[in-house]
Amino acid sequence: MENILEINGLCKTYGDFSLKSVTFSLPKGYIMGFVGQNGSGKTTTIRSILNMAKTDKGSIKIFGLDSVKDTIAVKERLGVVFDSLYLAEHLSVKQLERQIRPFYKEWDTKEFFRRISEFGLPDSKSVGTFSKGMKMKLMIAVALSHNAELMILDEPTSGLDPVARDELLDILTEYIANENRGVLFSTHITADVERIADYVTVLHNGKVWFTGTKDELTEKYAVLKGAEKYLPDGLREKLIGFHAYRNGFEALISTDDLRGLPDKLEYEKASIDEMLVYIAKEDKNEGHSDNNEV
Amino acid sequence: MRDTLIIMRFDLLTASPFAVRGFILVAMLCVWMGLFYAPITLAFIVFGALPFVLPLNGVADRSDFAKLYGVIPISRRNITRGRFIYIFAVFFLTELAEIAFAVISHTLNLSRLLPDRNSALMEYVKYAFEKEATTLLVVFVLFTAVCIFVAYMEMMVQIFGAENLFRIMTASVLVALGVFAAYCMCEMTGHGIVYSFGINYYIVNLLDYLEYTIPFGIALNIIALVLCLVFGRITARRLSKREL
Repeated sequence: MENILEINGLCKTYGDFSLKSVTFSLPKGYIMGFVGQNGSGKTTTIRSILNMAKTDKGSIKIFGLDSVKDTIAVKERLGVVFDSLYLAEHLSVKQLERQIRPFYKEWDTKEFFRRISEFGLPDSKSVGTFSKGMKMKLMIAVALSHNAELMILDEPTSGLDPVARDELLDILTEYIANENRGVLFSTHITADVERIADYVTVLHNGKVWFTGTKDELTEKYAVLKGAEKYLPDGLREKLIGFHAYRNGFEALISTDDLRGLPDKLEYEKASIDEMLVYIAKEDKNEGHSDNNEV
Repeated sequence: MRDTLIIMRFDLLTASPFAVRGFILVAMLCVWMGLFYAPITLAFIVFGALPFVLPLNGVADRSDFAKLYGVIPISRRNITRGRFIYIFAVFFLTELAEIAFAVISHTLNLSRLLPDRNSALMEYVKYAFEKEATTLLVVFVLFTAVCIFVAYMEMMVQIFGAENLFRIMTASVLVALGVFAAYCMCEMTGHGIVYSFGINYYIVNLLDYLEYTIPFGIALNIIALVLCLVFGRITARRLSKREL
């Protein structure tokens, strides 16, 4: 499989926060959910991909091109959606189109206005008056109108109502129907990832905690529950985010460690949300965090 | 060059909604005054062009253009350079219009159509239409002063941030006053440019003649362009070390 995005050993320090050797890749034709709690380094990684942040170490390749040396060629083929609008808010859609059009060699005005009409956006009203969902759709229309091969979305669904979120996910699903494209989608709303992502990268405290297919992730971990006294020797150390209650405990466990467990202990499939919660708890249990964050 | 032109167009479209109406109003007022009463007022159209530049940093902050600059396929250096060439272009085009109207005004001398030709006020009006070189000199000097000042402030605001505008202005005014005071001291003690280079009022008065005013104006335009390019280069170099 050809990778549309490859990040190798990305390191970046910002005051007391750092990305530590972040490595993952996204094959063409797939959607990757990029998850992690707030402050885990998702936005910094995306800013590094876009060459907006300077990296200390590592390499980023997009379409096989270097993200720093070939940044202009890369950006011609990249569509980006941020959590907030980055266009002049006092202008209308029509005026913005005139502004943005010359930036891209492959800009398609007809496609842009087709999308605007499909999304039901007024083209003569200043975009500052748009709702968050409308602004999101406008950024998507921009990203889709210059034939972008890779879409990068940084927390696009945060603050959106369920209907707008659903629409956005449908648009991404439709976009990825072309197998030469890819989507990197950062979010802390894991339900969105569970719905549309093929691949998942979980970032925690600036490190990649997991990267692979969504199915691998959901099959790799389970939530273990029961009374602490039934825990076999040596298993306690392997549990992630162990949390004891009056009548028992709960923790995340690798499915490889499930073999040979006593029947008194129960386990169930872990959702991505639960995984994030348990890895955050694990930090608390260890009493520290590498990036001074919980 | 293509990228620079794209950024200039981008800045023009960003500022136009704030600027066009005001500019037309100021221009119409100055042209009317310039055609009938005092051609020198045409030089003030340059102030009407200020809104084509001044709102840009505010809009960029409010609309999060840092992200836009990170997304578009234009290098950061060209984005910065484009802004400074845009500043020069806005004022230069205004200056060209001012010159065109000044020539028309002096050629037509429409003050002839005004009533009360012999009143005291009309004496001043007649005098204002006598010296075309003076009108052009004011146009050149005002264009250069405004263009350099705006480009300088743009550089300082981009490097030090709009939140430090007051400090930048205060420091700049103090430095300018210091330089001016030093110059005056030099002149008074006989070491200044006027004394040392033998520039006296006779030479200064040469600027009352078109054959001297026009080359002087061209020189001022070149100085303004060079300074805009230098400020752009300094700013681009300083900003390239920063993250978006």
